[in-house]
Amino acid sequence: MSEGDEVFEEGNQVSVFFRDQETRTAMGIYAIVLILVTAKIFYSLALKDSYLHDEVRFEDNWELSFTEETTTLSETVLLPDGGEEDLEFSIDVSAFPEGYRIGLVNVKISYSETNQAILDDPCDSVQASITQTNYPAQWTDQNNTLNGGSNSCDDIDLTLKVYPNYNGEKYERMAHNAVVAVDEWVEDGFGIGDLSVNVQVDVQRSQVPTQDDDDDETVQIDVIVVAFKANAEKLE
Amino acid sequence: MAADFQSLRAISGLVNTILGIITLLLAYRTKNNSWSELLAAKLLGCFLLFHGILMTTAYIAGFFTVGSFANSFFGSLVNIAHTISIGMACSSCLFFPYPFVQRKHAEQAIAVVVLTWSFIVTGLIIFIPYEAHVVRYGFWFFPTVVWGFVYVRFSVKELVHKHEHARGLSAASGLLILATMAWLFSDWLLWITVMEKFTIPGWVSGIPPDKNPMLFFVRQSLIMGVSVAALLTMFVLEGWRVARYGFSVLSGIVFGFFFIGIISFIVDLSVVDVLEDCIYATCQELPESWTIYNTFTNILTAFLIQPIVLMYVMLNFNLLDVKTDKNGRYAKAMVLVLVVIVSSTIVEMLQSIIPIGELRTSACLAIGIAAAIGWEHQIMGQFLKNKNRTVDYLKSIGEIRSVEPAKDATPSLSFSLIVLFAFALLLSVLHGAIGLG
Repeated sequence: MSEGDEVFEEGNQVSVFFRDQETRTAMGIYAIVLILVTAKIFYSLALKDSYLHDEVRFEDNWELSFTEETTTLSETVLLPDGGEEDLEFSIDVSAFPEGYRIGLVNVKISYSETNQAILDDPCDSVQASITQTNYPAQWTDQNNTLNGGSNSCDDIDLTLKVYPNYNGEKYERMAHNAVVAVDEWVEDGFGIGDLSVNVQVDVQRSQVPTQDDDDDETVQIDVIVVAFKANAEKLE
Repeated sequence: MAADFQSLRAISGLVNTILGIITLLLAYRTKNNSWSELLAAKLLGCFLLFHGILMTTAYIAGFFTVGSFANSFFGSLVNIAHTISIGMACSSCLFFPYPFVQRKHAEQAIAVVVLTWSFIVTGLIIFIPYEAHVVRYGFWFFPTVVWGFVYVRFSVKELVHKHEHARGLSAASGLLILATMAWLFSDWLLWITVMEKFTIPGWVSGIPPDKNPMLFFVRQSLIMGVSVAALLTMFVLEGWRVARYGFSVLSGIVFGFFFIGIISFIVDLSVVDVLEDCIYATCQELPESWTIYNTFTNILTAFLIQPIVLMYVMLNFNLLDVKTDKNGRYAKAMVLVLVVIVSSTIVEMLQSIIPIGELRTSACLAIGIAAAIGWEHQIMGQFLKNKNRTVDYLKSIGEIRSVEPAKDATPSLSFSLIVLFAFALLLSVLHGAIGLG
């Protein structure tokens, strides 16, 4: 027996356990190791990089704004009376700086009466539409204007929303960091492909007899591609 | 692998529940053991049983809970079973392998303590869930510290002072630490080096914004600190012991976890980039290969190693009397259940990551189970090879008092077990019906 031949009938058994002279030093060392390891783990868990704790626990308020860039693809066609033409515009993001996505496409169809007759030849009638194809865009968006016409030589403006919910306006949202704040606006693929525009012309003849009437019209089609880049700024 | 994780929970629940029931049956049939060992066996049996209920309920809850889990019948049952199992584990360390409480009314005192603990903590969880959950889990610190000191004291007794039979106590306490905290061991090197890389995106982000994180930090540091300190201490002392006496079951497992910890550190570093994205960018899913590795280390340890080691401790350290024919049959059933379920689980898990046809995997599964049944005799023999009697050694050093436990006094552990079952069911039904709290 290590502690003599006595049985510890008196006192607390915990004190009997720690009373053992032979092993007290080893248990002391174990206690120190335990405290040191616990302290190190507490430091890593609670103190080290603690500035990141709020970052991951709390959401901040971010103001999202959009920087826009545009590029224009143009084509001019001469259409005969009753003529119709489908024009294809190939759109990609290479024309824009890194990080931009296509937000919407505006199509402007312009023409004027080219017949310079006395007592004015009336404006021709032009109809235009953006043809629904598999071009990746928001074809069912209520704010689209997919077709239009003019018989007064006014421009025809068509719009196709490309990126979901993009309207270019600032707004605020809660998020953990800037990357999460703009995560709605970084999806690739929208607006890249061939956009098809259909143009029809009906030539209007002069009411004055003997006038020289034309029987065709020149129409210019400008496709204005609006690309955007979302920026997040933390609000205090 | 997410599905495997859930089915592993169900298997673990089944294994724990069956082992808990058989352990309690055997404990109540055991007549000749020392009172402290018998009480420890009952407490560990209760721990297994409630741990099994916790696991099984958590698994079932995944299918049947509609709406808030915390306010459901299953959520409440999970909470109560968890509370009771922690109470049982904390109590058992006071009796085995070293009986710190040697009093006539020890069983009655523990029954009262477990009942009080369960009622108070369950009540607190209803009203202050975050704080109560955090503090409750922190109580795992207590048995690990107690068993750690027992391990160190009796290892030194064996290695320095040549008390050969002191090994029984150090081995039992070391195995009990493994049974309860081993799920933290497989990442030990990460915990003491760059744990913040994992904990900030993984744990800190999960703390509700309106709660104080310091409580969580203290709790987590305590349970991880005692676990890692215990593993490192066991590694040093078992290394010393291996050089002198050769390998043992405990030294094999400790060295295994030590080296798994080093491998896990390298594996974990490979996904640091993915985790950093959770802080500075958006969270991505962890790679499938990492998830598989984690399932085979941490999750397998938490769900299956624990009941195996506990059963080994109970059979190998004479907590249960399995010498009589009828008890022997129960013990064999216990081993068979465990061996068959564990072998089939491991084969199933391997099958889930190795792309081979169903017919072949079924054959592999059958071979695995047949092999396990075939080896049952050897496995049982291994479990019963060294019948260590910790009490005999403690008597020899004069640390066992002549205590005659009060037999007929109430409340006994059996009484408190019945009350706890009724309490758990009643409160869970109430919780599910009217949503307490």
